[in-house]
Formats: sequence, structure tokens, C-alpha cells
Amino acid sequence: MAISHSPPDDNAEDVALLGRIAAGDRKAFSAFIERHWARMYKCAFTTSGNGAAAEDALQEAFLAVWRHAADFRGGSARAWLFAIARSAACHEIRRHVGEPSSLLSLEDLGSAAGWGDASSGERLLRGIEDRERVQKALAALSAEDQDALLLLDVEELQAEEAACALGIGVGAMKSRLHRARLRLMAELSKEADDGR
Amino acid sequence: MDGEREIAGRTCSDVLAKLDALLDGTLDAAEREIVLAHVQGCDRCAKFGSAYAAVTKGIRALTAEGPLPESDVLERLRARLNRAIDG
Repeated sequence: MAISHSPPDDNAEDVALLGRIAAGDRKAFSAFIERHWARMYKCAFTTSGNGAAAEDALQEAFLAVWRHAADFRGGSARAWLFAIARSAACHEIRRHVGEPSSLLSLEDLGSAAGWGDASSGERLLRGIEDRERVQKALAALSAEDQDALLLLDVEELQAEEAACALGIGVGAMKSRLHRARLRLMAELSKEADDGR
Repeated sequence: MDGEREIAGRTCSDVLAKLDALLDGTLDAAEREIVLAHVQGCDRCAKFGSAYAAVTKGIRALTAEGPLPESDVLERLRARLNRAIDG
């Protein structure tokens, strides 16, 4: 079976498909799945590190699309899909780890990430080249941090779209992303220290 | 941070707070020049900034360039969805 992995960047087609899905069109549902399943699977696998959990998440997410397509009110279909997937499934496979980043100052987060440590940069650069290490670090983050990184750094949504998907303001979205990046660097630093 | 410096009118903490906007290209031109002047004169901010940029790119690469899921994942997904919808 051929697999489509091209970025689903045609919002107009997604919007049209969602309209048909809302009317019960199974062919449109199948086409929508075809357009998005591979990217969603990668995101789910990245955050869970587990293929079975990622498949469960996909099932719940697409079931939610089938059941709630009529609730789509326009705008970015990808942002809506992420939001509905997040509420339907993703939190079931995520663990909240560590202290919420919002409780720590930016300087504290920076220090944990190696800010001010002259040798941290090289260790981090080695860590980022190790796929398993990055995945492990990402999986250790809170769902809040993962959401910010996946929406903006992986899916490359606009800050406005990502903020809409998460139901927060654009300023809060940008702040959350900055903190999430620092938290990821801190996790990678831990991994690098452990592996030294 | 121990040994925090003030260069080009910005402290290392100021630069830390603006690293994301610098990387994402959302810093206004005047502030960008000032922050870059600090980074050029501060080896620790330069190293940390490079690592910050590399980590951000690394996350993107993790999914963009990672192995593709097997096609049987899609087949299983379709079968599970059909069962769930049709009962």
C-alpha cells in the first residue's frame, strides 16, 4: 500500500473533507486519515516512545474526528485536529513528570539547561545527535511542554494557530515554548551527564 | 548566573529571555542587533545560544527525518476504526 507522507499543507482540502465527514461520508474520512496518519503517528510515537500506545492514540484521535467533525468551525484544520486528538487520546499516554515549568524562573530553567556552564554546549550538541536520547528526553517532559514543542517546533504551526489549539493566548504560547525548549535541554543535559 | 555580564547594554539574563524570539525571527531589528552584539562579545551566551538553536532543529529532525511508520500500522488503524464505528 502506498503511504502518503507529504505535509498536509492544503487547509482548504482538509476543511472540505471535514465538512463531508460531518455528513457521514466514509470516503472523506478515509481520505482525511490518509493525509494525517503518518505525521500523527510520529508525534504520538515521539512522545510515548511506544508503538502500541501511539496506535491507541491514533485510534482515539480519528474516532474523535469522526464523531466531532461537525464541531469544526473553520480556521486551521491541523490545529483543530491536534486539539481534538490531544483531548481525546494523547493525555492517556502521557505522564506528567517533574515540576511544572511555570513555577520556575527563566534563569532557574536556563541554569538546569546548562546556561552559564561553559562545557554544556558541546555535551548538548552531542546529545542532540543521538535520536534515542532526544526521544527519551522529550518523553520525560510534561504534556504541556510536549504540546508546545510538537505544535511549534515539529508541526511548525504559527504561534496563533498553536495558541488556538491549546486555548491560550499567543504570548502565553510563546512563553510556554521557550520554557519547553529549556526543559528539553535540561533533560538532554541530564542524559549527557549520565552517559559521560 | 555566576559571572553574569552586561555587554551592549544587555545582561546575559536579558539575552536568555530573548533567545526564542531571536531564533524564531520575531525580535524587532533594533533589539536583534543589540542582542547579537551581546552574543558576539559573550562566549557563554554564544555557546548556549548555539546549543539552543541546535536542540530546536534536532526536535524537528526527529519527526521530519525519522523512520516512516510501517504501512501495516495504517491497515490496523483502519480496521480498528471500522470496528469502533460499525460496532
